[in-house]
Amino acid sequence: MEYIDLHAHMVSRSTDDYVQMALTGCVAVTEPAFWAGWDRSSADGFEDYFRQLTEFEPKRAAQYGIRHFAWICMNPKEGDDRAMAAKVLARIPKFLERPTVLGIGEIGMNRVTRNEVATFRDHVEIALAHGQLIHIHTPHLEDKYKGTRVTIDSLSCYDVVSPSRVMIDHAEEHTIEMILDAGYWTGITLYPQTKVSAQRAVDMIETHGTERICVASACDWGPSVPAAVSHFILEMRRRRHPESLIRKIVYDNPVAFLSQSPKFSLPVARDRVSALAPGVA
Amino acid sequence: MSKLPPTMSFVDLVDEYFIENRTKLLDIAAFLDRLDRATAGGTSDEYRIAAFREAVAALAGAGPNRVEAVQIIFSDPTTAPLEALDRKSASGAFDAGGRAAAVSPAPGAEGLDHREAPLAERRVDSAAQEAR
Repeated sequence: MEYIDLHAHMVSRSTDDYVQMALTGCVAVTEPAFWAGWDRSSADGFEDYFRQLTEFEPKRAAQYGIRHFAWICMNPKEGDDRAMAAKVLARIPKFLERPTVLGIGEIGMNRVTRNEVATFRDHVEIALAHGQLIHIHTPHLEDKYKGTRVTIDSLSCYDVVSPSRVMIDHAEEHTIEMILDAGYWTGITLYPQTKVSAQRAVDMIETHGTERICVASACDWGPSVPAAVSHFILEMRRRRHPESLIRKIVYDNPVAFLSQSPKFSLPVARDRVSALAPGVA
Repeated sequence: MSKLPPTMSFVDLVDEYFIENRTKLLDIAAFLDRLDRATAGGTSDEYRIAAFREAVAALAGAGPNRVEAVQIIFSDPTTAPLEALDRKSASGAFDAGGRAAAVSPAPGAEGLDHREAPLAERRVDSAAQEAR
């Protein structure tokens, strides 16, 4: 089954991972700007990363018939550094003009500090000023509940934020309802330890329905599974859900959210066959 | 939001999932035994394990929201942002004692205070930090 991985940090993955994703049906990924596992030492470091996201990765993905899009921001793990944030945010608008950039993300909280909230709001205001979609990270583990509440509360300050143009990601059982009730899109992250298993993801779908919900691997430099969406598809089949319903979650829903950006489009089938089997198409 | 119609009966679910969940339960039992051996039969009030034991007890409670109850047991219940970054990563369980010692929010900081700083003031904060 074709699917879109709406959250994948491909700069941290090998080319073999692109192959596995293509073989399991992935036709597009969107890659939010992320923490490298260590703090960057300069705004130039961030700019090089943004260039990697917007110049190198789309070409690498295209070799396997996968369309690559990016979200640009200074990530929450480094957002507490207000001085660095001021320098990095000043460089973001020019990247928003690039043809594969869909919006601002993944912004949000890490430990939910005052500085993180301020940097989050700065990003939201850039997104609003430039008419961008917004992709939001919610914190891990014990910080998720608080971080999600503070995120929704902070967004409520902006009358002009349209919830339908915002994805609040990494939802779990104790946060999904508050996100959906506020009208936002949400994502369930299929992660082996610190987020949601495929079985729990299906439970959440069964409990909350399929409207405004996507699933993603969020694969990165830590323990994660690039083809995790295919495991979710398998678990949905194990529960005997129809193919049309599975497709809605892994393909139709991401298309509905991402198509709000005029830059989003999918490769035609011939391009994918050509990339995976040169000479066949 | 609307629930999906059930696709599997009680018996179907047991037949399909019993063995793997039995395995997970035994892993948890073995982990608790391992902790007991490490404390030589004594007990520990380490905050993560205290939350873990509370969560295990919640599993035996009435359904249907056990997973949400367990999530809340591990979660930070506050809403006031931290005054300063204390560490980079989460630990898996809220350390109420440690947080109280590390952070004492200003009176009235709980709740909406984080929403109220205007952009100009945040810029000033940024400039001040840069100056340091």
